Amino acid sequence: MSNDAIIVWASMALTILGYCIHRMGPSFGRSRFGTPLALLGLTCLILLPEGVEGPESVLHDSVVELISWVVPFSFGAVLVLRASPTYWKTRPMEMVVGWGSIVFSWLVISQYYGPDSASEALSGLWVSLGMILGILIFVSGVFLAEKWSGFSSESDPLSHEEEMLVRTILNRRLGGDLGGD
Amino acid sequence: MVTDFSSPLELFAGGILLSSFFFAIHLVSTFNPYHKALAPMLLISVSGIIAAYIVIHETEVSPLMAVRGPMSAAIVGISSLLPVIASIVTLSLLRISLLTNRSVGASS
Repeated sequence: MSNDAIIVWASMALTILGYCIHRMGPSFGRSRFGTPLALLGLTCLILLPEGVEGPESVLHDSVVELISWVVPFSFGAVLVLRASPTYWKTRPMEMVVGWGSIVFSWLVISQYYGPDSASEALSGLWVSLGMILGILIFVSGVFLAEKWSGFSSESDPLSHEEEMLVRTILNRRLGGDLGGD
Repeated sequence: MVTDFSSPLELFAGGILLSSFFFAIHLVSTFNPYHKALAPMLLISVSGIIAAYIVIHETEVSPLMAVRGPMSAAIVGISSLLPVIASIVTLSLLRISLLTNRSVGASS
């Protein structure tokens, strides 16, 4: 396995790691490192490998092609969503820029994919079936873990300060009085 | 010899390997004191090993290549499906862009 192949897989792992850490949410301190890690992984995946050989060669080319149209497409889609008249208020400038970006991304797609891409899309369907089975296996693992765990211990009741905090938050969000406080 | 991992069975195994790779990293990176990661980790590891074994049995390549090859083919396969999804999204965006100032009813 060449150094470039190791870089490709390590970068992929770093990107996934960053995404998963980001998805942990703000209650975990490490979640703030998620986005930088994912971007670092993606940057390494695109820029570092030179002359990749073996199965990673096609993979690297495919990822570079993908990013070249997914980024403008996502950007355009967000702009069009923001500018669309869903709430009867249109933003024409954002709409034009958004559709320009989407049209550009379709031009890029037409460079990479031709009429013979149907067989490649069919291979994608086989992969999807495998991935769905993998997801089902993972979900059944989570289900089993939840089923076996049971109650470990009962939580302590809220302290007076915590109780007041919950009351204040509920009052701010839902309105109403504080029960005579 | 260059092995082509493009048969349906190898692509299917590649999909399983890809999801196992993703969930293994997910379970490790999101570890916390309340995590019950043993059962899912065990199941995805077993499924990944079985998928790799199927590829080894089919193509008679080394275990490392039996993981790298199908996973690369799986990522390429998934990326070839994305333009189809992009076309569906584009049609939806076109529809909401052409919405006019009319009341939203059940049939709109």
